[in-house]
Amino acid sequence: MANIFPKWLNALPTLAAVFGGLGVVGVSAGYMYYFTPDYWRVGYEPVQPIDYSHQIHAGKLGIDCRYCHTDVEDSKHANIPDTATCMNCHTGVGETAYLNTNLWNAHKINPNLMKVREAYASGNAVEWRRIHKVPDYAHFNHSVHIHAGVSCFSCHGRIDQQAVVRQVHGMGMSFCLDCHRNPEKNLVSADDTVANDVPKITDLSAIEALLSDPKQVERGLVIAKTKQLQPPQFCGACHY
Amino acid sequence: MSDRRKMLDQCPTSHDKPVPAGTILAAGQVSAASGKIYWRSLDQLAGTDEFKGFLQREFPSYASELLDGSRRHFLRIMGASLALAGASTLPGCRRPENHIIAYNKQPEEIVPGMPLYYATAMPLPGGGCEGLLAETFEGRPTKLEGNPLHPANLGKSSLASQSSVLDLYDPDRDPAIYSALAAERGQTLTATKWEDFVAFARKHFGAFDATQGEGLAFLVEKTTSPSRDAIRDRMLKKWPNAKWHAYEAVDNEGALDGSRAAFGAPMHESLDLSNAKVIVSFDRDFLGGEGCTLAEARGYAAGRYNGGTAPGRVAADSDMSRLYVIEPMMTLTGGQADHRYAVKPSRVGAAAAAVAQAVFARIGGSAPAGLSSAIGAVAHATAGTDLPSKAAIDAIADDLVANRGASVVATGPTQPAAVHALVAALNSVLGNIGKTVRYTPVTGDAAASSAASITSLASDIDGGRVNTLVALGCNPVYDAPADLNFAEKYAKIQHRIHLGAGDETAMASSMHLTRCHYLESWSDVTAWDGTFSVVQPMIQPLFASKGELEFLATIAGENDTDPYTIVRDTLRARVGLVGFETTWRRALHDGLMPVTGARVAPAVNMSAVASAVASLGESAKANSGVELLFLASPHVHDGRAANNGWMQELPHSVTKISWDNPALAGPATMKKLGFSTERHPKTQQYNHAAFATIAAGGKSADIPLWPQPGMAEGTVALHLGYGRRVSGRIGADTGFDTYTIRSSGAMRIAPGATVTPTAGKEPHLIATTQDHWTMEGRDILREIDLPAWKKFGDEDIMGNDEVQKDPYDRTRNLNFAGRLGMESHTPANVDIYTSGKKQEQGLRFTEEDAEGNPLRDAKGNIVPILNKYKKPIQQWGMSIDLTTCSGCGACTIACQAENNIPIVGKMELAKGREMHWIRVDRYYGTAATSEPEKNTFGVGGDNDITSDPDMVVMPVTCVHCENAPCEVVCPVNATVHDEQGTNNMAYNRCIGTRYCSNNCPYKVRRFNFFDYGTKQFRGNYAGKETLKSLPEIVRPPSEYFVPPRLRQKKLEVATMQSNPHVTVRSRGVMEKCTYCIQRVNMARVETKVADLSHIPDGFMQTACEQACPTNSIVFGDIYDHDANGGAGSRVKQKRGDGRSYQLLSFLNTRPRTTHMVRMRNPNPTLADAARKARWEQPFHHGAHGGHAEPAHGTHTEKKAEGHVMSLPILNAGNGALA
Repeated sequence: MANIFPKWLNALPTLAAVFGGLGVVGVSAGYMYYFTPDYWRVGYEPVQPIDYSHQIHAGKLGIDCRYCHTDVEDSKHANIPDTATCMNCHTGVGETAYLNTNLWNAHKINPNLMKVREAYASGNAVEWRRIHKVPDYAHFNHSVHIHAGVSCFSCHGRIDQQAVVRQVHGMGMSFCLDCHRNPEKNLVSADDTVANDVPKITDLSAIEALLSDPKQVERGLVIAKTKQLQPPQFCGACHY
Repeated sequence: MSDRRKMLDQCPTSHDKPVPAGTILAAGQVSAASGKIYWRSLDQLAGTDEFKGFLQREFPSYASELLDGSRRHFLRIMGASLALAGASTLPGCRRPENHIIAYNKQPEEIVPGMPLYYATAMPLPGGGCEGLLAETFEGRPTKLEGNPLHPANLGKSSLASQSSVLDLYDPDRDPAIYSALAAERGQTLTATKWEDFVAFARKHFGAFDATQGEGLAFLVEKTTSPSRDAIRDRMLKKWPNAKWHAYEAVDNEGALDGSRAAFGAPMHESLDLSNAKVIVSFDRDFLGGEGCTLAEARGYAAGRYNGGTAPGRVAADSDMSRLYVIEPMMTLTGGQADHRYAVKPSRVGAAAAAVAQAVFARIGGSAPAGLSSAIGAVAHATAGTDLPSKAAIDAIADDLVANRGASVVATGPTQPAAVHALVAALNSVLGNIGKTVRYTPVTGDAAASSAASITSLASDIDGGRVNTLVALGCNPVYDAPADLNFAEKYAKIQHRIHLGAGDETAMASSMHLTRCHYLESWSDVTAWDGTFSVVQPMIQPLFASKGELEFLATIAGENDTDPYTIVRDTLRARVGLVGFETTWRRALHDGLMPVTGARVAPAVNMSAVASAVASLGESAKANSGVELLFLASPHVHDGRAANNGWMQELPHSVTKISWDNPALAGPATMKKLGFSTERHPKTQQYNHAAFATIAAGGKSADIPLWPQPGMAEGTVALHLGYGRRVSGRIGADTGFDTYTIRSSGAMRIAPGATVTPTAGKEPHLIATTQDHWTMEGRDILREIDLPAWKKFGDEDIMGNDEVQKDPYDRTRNLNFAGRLGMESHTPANVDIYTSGKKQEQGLRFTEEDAEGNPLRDAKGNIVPILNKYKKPIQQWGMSIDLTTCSGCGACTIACQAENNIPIVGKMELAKGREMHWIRVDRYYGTAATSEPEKNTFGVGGDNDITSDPDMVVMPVTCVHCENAPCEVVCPVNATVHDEQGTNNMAYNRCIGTRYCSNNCPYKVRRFNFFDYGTKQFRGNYAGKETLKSLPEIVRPPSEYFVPPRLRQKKLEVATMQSNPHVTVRSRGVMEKCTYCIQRVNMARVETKVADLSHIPDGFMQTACEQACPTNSIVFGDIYDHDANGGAGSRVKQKRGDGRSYQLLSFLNTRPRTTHMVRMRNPNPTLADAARKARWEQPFHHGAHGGHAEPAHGTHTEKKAEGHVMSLPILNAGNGALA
């Protein structure tokens, strides 16, 4: 009787084990790489209804984040400013209201600014696209982090260099826990009065330099000790 | 158990366990401390299969079924709905785009994400108000709290106010929606546009100037709003011929007429129970009924128990007020009573006369002679065996006379004027008026008689004297006395104008406008003590609706119809121009303007009372007929809250029935009337009530009759407010309309009624939670009499007392409550999990280290877990005092509002799927006799234990075990402990295995079988059209049967009530009490930001604690030794009290929530010898009388480890329920 199965089939179990194993590893690796917020969320950069540039306002002009995001120290939300906040500066109409003619011309023809003025005049809200979002079952509170000395930079990166805001960290649970376990890497002084001679917590370039400094861990530990910081790591701190 | 159920039942141990029919008592169930058997329902007594289903399983077997049909049925519906809805509901594969809608001009003070609190007030039906604080998020009120400044509330709140926020977001208030709902039923209900009404009003009401209001009539709800009164006065001045009728379907006329007789003027009575040593209630349910107020419940709790064993106190000095209750139906007040007597409604007056006679006999010459002889005559004429015994009457009279000036006699709204007058005279004679009983004169609308109002309106209509009727808020077409045939008469009026909900009257009106919620429009209101409050709106009207002030001002043709101006003008007229703005702003800010001197202590006109009382002789004569007792529902009141899902679903505080209002009668009465009360297995459909034809005053109705223990013989109680024909999706067709048999001559008590079994009607399913979450008869409830506490309360067994050695020679540290309970039998608890290392890591919370040495500081205080900076981490705990808990359910509703807890509906609830995080268990207690086999239930017999039981209520919620059994079985670590000692529930981790609730000995975990939280409650389900076209055999019989899975998402307006700080849970997720961790976390953030080292005691309250009207719930840091001037936090003090015990502590679960022993203060002269014997020996050890002998046999033997948990079950012997 002829052999039904060719000889090379003897290698089949080995091959199956090898490729099957590779497949499992591949799927796992793929899952771990692709199915994470670091893959899905980072780089999210939607087109906003108004082409507002943080690069100009926070970077070039040096406006403090808290000038617009007023409630970040008081509330769980860092509020998106109302249109009236824009109009604090952008009310001026006519050349005399601006430093020079070029600036006025730039503002006069700026379609984005026209949208802001229109929205303000009509009373309609601007529908911004939301970029940073933790899931509904996770509760994040801005105010307590700011008071602890976690800078905007630690989560949002160099917003002052972004013409269009994008997400720079995945903000998955491990991102939170990394910092809750070792907060010293991200702690800076929240007491940024002039007398204390420390960079403002919102001065993103200074903070970036500070945090990449080798002495940061040492400084952070001092801050943590002074403020008696022990970030919670139990589920109920964020999930309720 | 049906075969189908058997097939689905995967628990082999529960298969057809033999149930000895009629066996009731297992010796182990008799509480040694109180000598009582505690039972929850007739089904428990009978040991029916269905009861065992609830007892032995986490959820009864059929709770896991999706539909009440077959699996094929389910698949077909699923297929059909998917086919229809699939295309539109399939989620896209794109990332959902979220928007942030910023303000255009952000209002000052609003911080997105942070709540703002505004003071307001809620007008109560019939007058008076509650002062409230509304929590608003970005202008959206989500939760109401009691205003700490308002004298009525002092920070507490009632069921009515807690639930009223849900009414605001009731989508069925929308004229468009209720029109659509009505159209579905083939009816027409359209709201008139406001502009059209204004145009009509200008023309129509302007014409009344000529006739001075001839033919114009108003039918209004009773309120105490100064602005409405002002408009009324202006209107009636302009139109003197117009008629103004104040009407409430459920009124307190007896009290008004009684005070008219006694004082010559209508008075509102308020009781200061905190100073009362003896309280005698003649059917005044001041804890849970319609007469109840927060102040009375609070005062009662404050005066009820004064003592404890906190530092500086000894149990021997404890003091309790004594409560006697004479009432026809079991109420919460009756449950609290030390001595309760069930007396027919019409005979309560006779009991009052008997007590008055005994009191007058004791005080002799100082009793008013005329009244004394009149009462003597009444007492003689009405004497009977159905009244409390002579010994009881004498004991009550002795107590009253001994406590003159510190006692209270009270009667309730169901009683006629003569009883109220008599009680006022009795209080006057006892010197209570001005001390414990105070009065406020009632004027204006609140003083009107509702029965007279509606009757005279009806006769005016008959006489053709009404051309235009303005119905303000009220719903007479539904709730007017049946003998008036008001619906017919109403239709005869030419112009019927109605401002209110989309209800029966709206349907019958020629013009209907939707009324605002009180949080949507400016108004004002006066509390019963005179305090003035502005009803401050929180939000613009969500739907096209108007407030009553604007409506009335428009009718009156006033220049200014803006309610804000009207309210301000009224106040300005009252306080004057000088400093008005300051007064106004202060009143808005505080939520009140104090008015003193409103309460008076009037003198009683004894001869007038004597003549009023004389009429009692006839009406209170002994009779053998059936009497109907009409009661407002404690939840939906007169029907106005019928569309409030929280109120419908909250089980009735006594009957534990939700979504229904069956007629209630005692089992013995039912038997006499020809109804079966037998609940033997397999003979009676579980929780089904047979229909009864109830006839009174020439009207009759078919209403299911439900056996209710503790009812007076021959009494049938009917709750009003159900069976609404036109209401929203929740209220319509829920329950039975009992107004149809209430006539104007018998608004409260209808004697001479007939009740007969209805032929040919299937029994009605009653959804009751009384058997849900039962606990195997274990001694989770501990009750003791005051004398025993005074004698033994100070004795903690903390040493090596030989008696307290466990079978392993370990010492048990037992306080008084521990000695009462099972702990005195079981081995001492050891923490099997703790190792020294884990303790260091802060993973477990014990008072001892691995060697069993207590961890204490130099002062002897227990040292809690420290953080890495050696600072204590706060450890949360709760204490619930069963002595003062009235069982009202305000905690359940406050929790529901705070924690986004959904309602599930009647069919789901009947399966044991209710979601309430706090359940209030209700137990009946009956003194055990020495011959338990003679006990019967509901069938007469030698010792019918259902006829006159005690009642105890017990709130149970997640107790946050330190050694939590739920945590060790969760396969995904979704429920874990945190360092603060609370048991966390991470919803996003939960995969819905339900192992945790299987392993929870307290049965406090709740599972989202469906998307209760996000789906519409009823109606608008996916695939509706397809379902309609299905053959009848596979079609669900009603919308109730459509599982929430198939329903459409909640309307946006209904989601606005949600607390943004709490996740809305989805299907397949377990949930339970979190200790309001969102509030703890908010407090942590606030204190952290303010650089405080810890959350001070009382800085944050849980929702239940905040609402609890009797201050029975206390929450805080159990190791905060320094709070309150070194006395420790309130919860620490409570835990140190000898009355504190942990539920099932022998399981070594170490609950963080402790309960405090329920105490009663019986009159020694009324206590029998067995009860007195227990005062001398209340404890398990040595309590041989009435205590299970076999138990001692088992536990004295040394047993191997591992049998610890089964000991109590062994102890309980071989009873049916063990």
